[in-house]
Amino acid sequence: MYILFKRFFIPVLAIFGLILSLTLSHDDEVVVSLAPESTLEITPIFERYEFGEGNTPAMHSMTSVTLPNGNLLGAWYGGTGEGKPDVKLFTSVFDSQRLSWSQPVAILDRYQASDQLNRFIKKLGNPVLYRHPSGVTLLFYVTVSIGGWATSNINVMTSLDDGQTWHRSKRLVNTPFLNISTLIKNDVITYEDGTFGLPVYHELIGEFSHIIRLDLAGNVLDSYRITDGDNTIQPSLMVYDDKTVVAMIRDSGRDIEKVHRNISYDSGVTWEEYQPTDVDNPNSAVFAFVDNNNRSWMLFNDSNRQRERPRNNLALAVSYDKGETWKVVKYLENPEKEDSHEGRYGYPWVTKQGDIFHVMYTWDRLKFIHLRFNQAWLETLL
Amino acid sequence: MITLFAMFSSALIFMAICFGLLQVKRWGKYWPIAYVCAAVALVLPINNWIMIEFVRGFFSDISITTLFLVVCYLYNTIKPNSIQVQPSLKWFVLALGVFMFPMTMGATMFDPFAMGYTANPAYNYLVVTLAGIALIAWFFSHPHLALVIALALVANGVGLLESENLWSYLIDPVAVIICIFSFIFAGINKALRLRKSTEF
Repeated sequence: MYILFKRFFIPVLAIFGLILSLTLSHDDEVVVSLAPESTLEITPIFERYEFGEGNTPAMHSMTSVTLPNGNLLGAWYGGTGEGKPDVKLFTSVFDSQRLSWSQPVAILDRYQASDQLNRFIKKLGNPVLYRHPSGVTLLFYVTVSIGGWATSNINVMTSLDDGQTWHRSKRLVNTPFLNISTLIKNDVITYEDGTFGLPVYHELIGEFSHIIRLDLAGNVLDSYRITDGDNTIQPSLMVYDDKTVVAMIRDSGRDIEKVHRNISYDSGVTWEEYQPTDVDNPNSAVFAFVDNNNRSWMLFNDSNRQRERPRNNLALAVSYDKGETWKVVKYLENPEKEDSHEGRYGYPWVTKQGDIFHVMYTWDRLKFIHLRFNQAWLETLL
Repeated sequence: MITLFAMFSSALIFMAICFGLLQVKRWGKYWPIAYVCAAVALVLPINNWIMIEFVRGFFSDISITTLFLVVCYLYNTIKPNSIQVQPSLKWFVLALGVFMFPMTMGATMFDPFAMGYTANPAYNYLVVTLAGIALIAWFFSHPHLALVIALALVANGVGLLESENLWSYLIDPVAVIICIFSFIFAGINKALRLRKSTEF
């Protein structure tokens, strides 16, 4: 018996492993879930708020989601500077009745992240908030254990009470190379089966974009490549129907310096050849979104690296052909587009709340600007 | 369980590094001293962390293949030349590394790592192929390769690592580096032996 066991141990183990591994297999069709249609106001609304100044010497990478009561939950990182050991993740709530942001609350520092992830964490970075249709709020964020941002990992923590308390973090595994170099910046898309796609990018050696599909438990189910390693990072996804998704992508190189575009006709699973658009990009983040009339909009720095201050304006552009061509309709900062203008405006984020759009971006890394406008205001720009 | 296993793996890899740096193979019967030193160093506090947390931070969770190679190395330091890792396993790891790493770094639009995720259409084929390779390897007397693949499949099935990707159980850069160095050292030893034999 023992000899038989010894002789057949390995094949039996292999078959056991085969069965176990096959039981994990999923076979779901990937279909993008669309936001419900909203009632449109006729009167244009445009409001501007500033917040966060003085909370920490520097702050960056604002993200937000809509809460069931109509308020907004926002999150960002702040400290003495980007990548510093004292950087923490903060949250704040925008009260839609009082139209003001609450006092920021520090929810995570690197020591807490280390404790939750059971490993050394050197620094924290970009957060991305997502509210799942089931009511769970997820906060994705970046950590680094060794080196710079190119060796980042993505983690997720969840909240069952709209961001008041957070559960332990979980590490997402996205590469076979010590799981390093995956980062996040832009908004998530939801699929009809309850899974969702997080647009991520890779920065080590090759710089490229992909989507990782996750379930609510934070398990990575699949990964869909948007570009290859050709200086194309921070994809921002626009959903037009349950199958058509367009990605607008930051250029991180020095040759093209244009925003890139790619399109998928199967909910982001496979993508066409990505192409540069005519929109200048000085290696800075872009955010693209679709309005209630299925037009495309994009926030970006309308500049290139040859300028002395490439991030000293913030443009809002519209597209009528799903992001192929763009027309700037307004400069939200530095309207005259003066080269000498001091200031850096970056990392735009948009949360759509029915008829209302909330735009947030970093103002010189000292504070955040929050613009609140509606569809009618967008129509006045056309 | 995931954390415990990861900490155990990190401890083993730290010990292997310590044993390699200290040349414990030459210590003979005094190897337990090195073992105690490495075990103490593992829990040494540095600022707010202990050494093992740094190891996990730097290496992330290592694959079953690396774990197997590290265990073999540690066992050989205690009982020299008792386990000779079969070249078939090393070639398999190198071939996977050459195939996998350039593409996962963005060399092409095709991402082989995605095939290891459970919702990927290629996942079932990958599992069956690997199990087939394990059975063929076993049939043709390559038990190390067969055992590593079988263990990786089981570990993936029970979710022993924090990764949900089957490839994470099979390959990581540490395994590739170990295999490269193993071939280099084997080549050097062979050359030295050849030189000695021609001298006589």
